[in-house]
Amino acid sequence: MAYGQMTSTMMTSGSGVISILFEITANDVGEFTIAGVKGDAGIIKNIITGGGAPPGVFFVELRMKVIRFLYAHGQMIHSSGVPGDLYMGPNAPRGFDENDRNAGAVQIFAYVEGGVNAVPAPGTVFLCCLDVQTENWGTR
Amino acid sequence: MCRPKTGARANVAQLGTIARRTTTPGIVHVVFEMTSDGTGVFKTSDIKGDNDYVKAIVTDGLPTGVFAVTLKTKCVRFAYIDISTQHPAPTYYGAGAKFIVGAAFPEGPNPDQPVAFASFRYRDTTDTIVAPPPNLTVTVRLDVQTMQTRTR
Repeated sequence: MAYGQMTSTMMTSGSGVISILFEITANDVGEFTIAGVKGDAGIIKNIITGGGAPPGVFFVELRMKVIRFLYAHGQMIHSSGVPGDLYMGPNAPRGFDENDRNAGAVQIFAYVEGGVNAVPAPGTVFLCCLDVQTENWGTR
Repeated sequence: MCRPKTGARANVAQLGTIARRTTTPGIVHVVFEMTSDGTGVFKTSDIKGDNDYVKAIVTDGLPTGVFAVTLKTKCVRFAYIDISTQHPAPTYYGAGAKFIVGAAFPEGPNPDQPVAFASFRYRDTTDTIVAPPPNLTVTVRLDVQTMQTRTR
């Protein structure tokens, strides 16, 4: 793909920082999957749900480890009158298993309605922004 | 990356605001602030910092507490949308209430006027859409994927 023909993901003007902007759409049963991701230019390895996590919680796993998440935020597109918001969960810049060379950085999001975890309506769209400091860059 | 030019060689593009300028291919960052009037209504003339990229603030025909931003062009999609509400001291009025992102139409809801459209709703602590307070300042960020660029 020619330079200038991609989305912003993996491109940056700030040394050592990658801005990952992507949209994710809940599928027909309100689940988040990698198939619902658009615009990440392939930097997201997987969307993980289940495994004991509450409903509406999803883990965004990147293809690489990072030094830190400089900024992370998610927005729900309220196309209908459905209440709810996308909340930030914790993150793991080195992945859940730092010794696993294949583990990527993880940022967790949670869909919440009325203060409790919930399953979003099918087709609900969220926009997420992850600014990450990449490896081999120092921090004061 | 090029070093920023300074002095007489300064490029206007490098000295402008962030809106309409980006070094990230395919994405335009439109950021601006605006303050509502004495009745809590936002108008196009209230905008600061958008570098004239915003076409209009639309409130006509929308419910109380809702406004929309239209850009001068359509886009492939909205890569990111955010709005932040300033709660001035000493009252911090409306703390707990906030604007939320409403509907987003990359090519607008009206096929006759294909311009990017994003709406926002002011929601109180009971999830009810209400009129915002007067003289409320918000900052808006719209990252749009421009036409002629692709998405995986």
